[in-house]
Amino acid sequence: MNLKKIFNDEAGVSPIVATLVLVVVAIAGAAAVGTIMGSFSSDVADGASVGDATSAASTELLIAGSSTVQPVSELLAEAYMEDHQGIKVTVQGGGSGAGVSSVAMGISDIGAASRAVKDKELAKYPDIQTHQIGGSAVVIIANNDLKGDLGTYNITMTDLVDLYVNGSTTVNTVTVNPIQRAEASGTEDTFVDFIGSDIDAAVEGAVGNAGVLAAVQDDLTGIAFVDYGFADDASDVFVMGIDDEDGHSFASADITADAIMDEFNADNDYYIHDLTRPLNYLTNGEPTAMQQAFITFAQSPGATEHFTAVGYFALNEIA
Amino acid sequence: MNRRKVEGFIFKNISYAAVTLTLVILFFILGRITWEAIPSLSLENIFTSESESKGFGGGLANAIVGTIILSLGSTLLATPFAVGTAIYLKKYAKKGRIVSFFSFMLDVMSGTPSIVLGIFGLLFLVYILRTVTGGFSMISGIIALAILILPVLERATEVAIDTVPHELEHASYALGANKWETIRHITIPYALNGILTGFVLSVGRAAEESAVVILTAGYSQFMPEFKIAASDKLIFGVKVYPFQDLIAALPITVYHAFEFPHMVDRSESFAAAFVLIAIVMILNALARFFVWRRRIG
Repeated sequence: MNLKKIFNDEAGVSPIVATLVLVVVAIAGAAAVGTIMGSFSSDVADGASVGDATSAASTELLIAGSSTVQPVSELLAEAYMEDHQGIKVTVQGGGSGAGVSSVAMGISDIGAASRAVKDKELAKYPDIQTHQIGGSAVVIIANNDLKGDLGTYNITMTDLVDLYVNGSTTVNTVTVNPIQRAEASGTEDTFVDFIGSDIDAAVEGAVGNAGVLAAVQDDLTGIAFVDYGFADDASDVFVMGIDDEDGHSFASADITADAIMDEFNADNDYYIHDLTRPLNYLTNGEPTAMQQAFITFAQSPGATEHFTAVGYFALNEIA
Repeated sequence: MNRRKVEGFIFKNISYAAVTLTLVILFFILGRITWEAIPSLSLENIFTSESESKGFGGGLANAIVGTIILSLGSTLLATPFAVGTAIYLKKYAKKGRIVSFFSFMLDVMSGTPSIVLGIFGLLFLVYILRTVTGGFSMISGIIALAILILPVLERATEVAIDTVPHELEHASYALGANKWETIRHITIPYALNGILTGFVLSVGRAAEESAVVILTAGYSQFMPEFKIAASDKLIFGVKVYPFQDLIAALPITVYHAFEFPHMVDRSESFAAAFVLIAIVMILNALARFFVWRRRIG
């Protein structure tokens, strides 16, 4: 009945308990030694790096925001930390909106956003500075089953407004099932800005670019907007040709990585300009030396491979 | 066969069917997760942190250590408050409107969706108290999770105290013990079984939580460190690791493969899910073990 009994009574300590305790102590010990040795070695590296006089804590960066930018940020962080011993860059997601508010509230060092900072956000947080690091584009995809009927058809802005705003389910008399993003996202913002009105909430939603892609792959009549990085090389879907209101027309075969890359500096010459979008890093006010160093690294030609790995375009490819 | 026998036969078979279906679903889920997890389930994966492995994803050690620290830490923090509240409500408080209102509020709290506590934690712990907690940090996560599991643990303790036979307590009073001595030597030891079970289940509840963790502890690719470093952002000019540092958790790692299917191998997520299930399973086994060791008679 008494806890003391377990310690006093010899029979109270069974071999099972003893083994369990031993295992727990061993694991905890190993973890402790490992982390202490780990931080010790990084402390040594701190001391050795370029005689940097800054304190240990200021050699940390937290990047938070857009889940579109997150994989690039992690790859960049890894490469950056390899070159700059003793600096610790942590990356977390949350969405473009979270990137804006977290950097403005001072709970992250660099915000990430897959869109420009909105005027309303700037009005609320006037000190935010935008640093573009790369770009991406939104494309319309459809299930391969529709290729026979729509493979050579360029979807028009009227079609998209009918599908996503007016509740229509046909494109060029072919029955389709439009799919949208279930949550707020840079991808959806870009698309909504293009079609000019908010999407009807009744349209079926899927979570994330990946979720939308999977939904279109599973639905023989599925049609949706996704980031080009997800549409490129995806099985069972094709990128649809598209026409905008002003007579710019791009066939399915014309919408390639090269075309999109060229379009960042053009005006509707290679792809619909409104469907391209920037990948931005945000700082609250002038970036500190640490923040600037990382942003410069992200913008440098050496970082291109990390953008390519995720299916985006680096700044030097665009500019 | 008469009607009574038919009735019994039908309901017996409905129960059998329900049990079979539940077990089949359970084994299907566990089997599927294990099967998908096998390709990524290596010792190397489990003992490497994400920051040490090449590329995006890979490595679970940071999340495993983070989950263990967060769940154990938050339960340890919640225990004195939960047990204290339960003893007060059961032994000291006079039955009345205030007590029943308080009890009702505890029920409301235990039914509060975790995202609500998460957003409270983000605003209060991460933002307003950021010079103390360090923003997204282990302390913020532990405090928010402790609030989340407090009502669960409190209810478990109340139920455990209810199981203590009144005869034993009355006998204690009859021998001249005062209220504190009775609680200390009779009530708590007798109820310890139930309290321990509640403790272990709370650890499991905290381990599986994702909404609160992502909004208060954030996420980190690194293992927790033990050091103290200068920082002008914090109240005393120093940052104490790992308490004021970011920390990772397994549920967020599980979500990664869905969020970034082109970057993270699907089996990595299942490996994280498998480890999470294993941790919760070991905890439940420990709870059973405590109950078995301290069984009466």
